Parts: sequence; structure tokens; C-alpha cells
Amino acid sequence: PYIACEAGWTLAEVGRQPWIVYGLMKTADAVSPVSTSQVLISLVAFILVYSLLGLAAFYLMYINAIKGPEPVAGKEI
Amino acid sequence: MLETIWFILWGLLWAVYFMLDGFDLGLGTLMPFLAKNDEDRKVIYNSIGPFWDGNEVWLISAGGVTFAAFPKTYAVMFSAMYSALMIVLFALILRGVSLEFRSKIDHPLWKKIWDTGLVAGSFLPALLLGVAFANIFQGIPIDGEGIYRGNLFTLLNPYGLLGGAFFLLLFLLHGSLWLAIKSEGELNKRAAGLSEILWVTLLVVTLIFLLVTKLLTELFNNYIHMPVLFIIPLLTVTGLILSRLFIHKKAWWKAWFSSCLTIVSATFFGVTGIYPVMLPSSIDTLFSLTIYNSSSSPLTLKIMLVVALIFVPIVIIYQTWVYSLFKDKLKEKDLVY
Repeated sequence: PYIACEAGWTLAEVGRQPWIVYGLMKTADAVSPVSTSQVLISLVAFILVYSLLGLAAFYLMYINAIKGPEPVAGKEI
Repeated sequence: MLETIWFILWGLLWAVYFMLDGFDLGLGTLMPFLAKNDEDRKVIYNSIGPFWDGNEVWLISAGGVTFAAFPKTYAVMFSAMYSALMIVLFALILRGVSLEFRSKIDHPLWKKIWDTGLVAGSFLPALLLGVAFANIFQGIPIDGEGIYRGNLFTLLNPYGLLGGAFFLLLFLLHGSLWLAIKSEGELNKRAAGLSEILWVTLLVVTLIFLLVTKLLTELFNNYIHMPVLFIIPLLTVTGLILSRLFIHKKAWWKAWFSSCLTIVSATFFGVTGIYPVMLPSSIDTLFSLTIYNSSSSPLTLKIMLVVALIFVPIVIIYQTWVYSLFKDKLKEKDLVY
């Protein structure tokens, strides 16, 4: 399911190029006046932050999965 | 007319955001100064826990309204303040994750990492939002094409940093008052004592900020033109005085509400001062972005107004419900974060 989601988005975004608004505006024309270095730094930061958060999240899911579900107290269903 | 209505709503969204997220940004920053042990830290996390997400929603809505109602201002402002806003973004992400992840593993290093995240993620947005707004009051170098002729450090000028300090102190006091509401015993006493110190510091910085604002910005012009508007900064001062009074009486909810009044009226003081300009250019006033040259079409504004008038009250209702659910002091059994 993860791969399907990512693949869908990739298809939409890549397929849309070179238009950002199909037939009306090219992606290159829609760029904001922000310097390359700023954008590069923020891109790298994004990749770093999301990777670290992703690792932390997966780690938490992993140790909870290993633990297994908590025993249910009370009557049998 | 529509532009003015939306400008006021824009100001209102920022005011409510600062009133709400102010206390959790402030309290997060203060944690190293208030917490002596893990129990204290848990109480602080639980004071912020149920609220921070809903509070941050108002920031999103303020930014969203900037985009939808005044797109040109949004474009120029967010490109100009790109680096500062990116830092704020990452800090807020870090803060949210720290709040949610901290209690998941019972290991000191794990907790230390996220505690650092909470403090950094609270301090940086508080400071940088103040810096951003001070620069909005003062004007930034935008040329005729709407291109910003500066960088992150241009924003960190003395007046910008003064604005940062002012906002930070507003939030720190707001946060310590909130902790006084939610905590008991030793932690409560520490919050009370810190509130008194913060109040004095805030008073001094407020006076300096008002004076320097008069000297360096055009902010007071609208007030001099229409003196009845002076009621707004008067409300700010009233809020400050009342909060000191209630701190002395240890009436923490009243003190916090007075602090709310201070923050909301301080925001409106700034917003009313810049009207109708949204982003002044320090190169030439012709290049400034106003509500008239940067707004969306009247149809857009009309549709948005109808939607906003329906949904914002709904948001206020359910957030008030959350606050009333979690209004009591924190006891041992409540520490779920």
C-alpha cells in the first residue's frame, strides 16, 4: 500500500511536467524568488528531519509489535 | 470593504493563535527552568499535551488566510522570510513529535532527546515569530518586482530581535501562568515565583518596544489620525496590570485570562498600526504590499467570508470543549503523556 501511494503521486507529478498548470503555466515560470542555496539547505533539512522521524517512528512500531498485544482482562468472548 | 473585513479576520486569527499557542510555546521553553525531576517534566508535558495540536491549527489558518485572501502578500512574505519560516516549520515539527514520542520508551536518553526537542521546538518559533512581526511593522527591503533584497540576517536586525524578545516574554509569562493553573505543590510555587520575575521583565521590554516602535516605525500614525484607536494599546496595558494583580492574589485563571487580553490586544495594536499595508517595503513605499494591491478577487473574498463565518465558530466551540474537559489541576493519574 505504501508503494502504491508513492507510485501514484510520482506518476501524477512526473506526468504533469513540464506544466505546473496543464497547458497554462510551466513549472519553471512558477518558481518563487528564493535563492538556490536556501532551497537546497531546506531540501536537505527536510530529508534529514523526515528520515530521522521515520526511523524513530518505525523503531517505536517495531518494539511495540515485538511486545505483542496486551492481555485482555475480564470475560472470554 | 471586503479587504478590510478580511484584514481584521487575519489579525484576529493571529491574535487567537498567539493567545493559545503562546502558553505552550512559552511553557515548553521554560521547562529547563521549572522542572527539577521527571515528575515535574511529566506535569509540564501533560499541561501542554491535550492542547498544542488544536492551538497550532490557528497558525495554519492564519497562514492559510494570508494565502487565500491576500495571495500576493503571502507570496512575497513567505519567499522573503523563507529561511526564518523554514526554521519555524522544523522547530514546530520537532516540538509536536517530542510531545508525542517522549513517553513511549522509559529510558533516560530517549527522554533527554525529546526534552531537548521540546525546548528548542518551543523557543525558536516564539522568538522567530516575534522577529517576523517586528520586521513586518518596520518594513523589509522589497523591490518593485516583489523580490526581497536581503537574507535571514537582514531580519535579525536590532528591532527585529527586540520584537522577538517581546513576543518571547509575552509567551513565557503566559506559559508560566498556565503551569500555575495546572500544577500543585512545589512546581506550582516555582511557576508562581517565575511569573513574578517574568512580569517585571515583560513590563520593561514592553515599554522599550513601544518607545522604539514610535521612533523606528510608522505604526503609531493610524493612532494619531484616529485617537479612539488608542483604546487598543490601553487594553494591552490593562491586561498587564490586571495579570500582576491576579498573580499577587494567586488567582491563576484570572491572571492567565488577563495575559490573554494582553496578547490579543498587543497583536491588534500591531495589526491596526500597519493597516492597510500588510508588508511595507523599506526601499520605497510604492513597493509596499497593501490589502488592496495583494488581495484576491471580491468573489473569492465573499465566498471565503461565508465559509469562515460558518466554520470558525464551530472550531471555537469544539476547542472550548477540550479546554473545559482538561481544566482541572493535574493529578498523578492524569499523567498520560
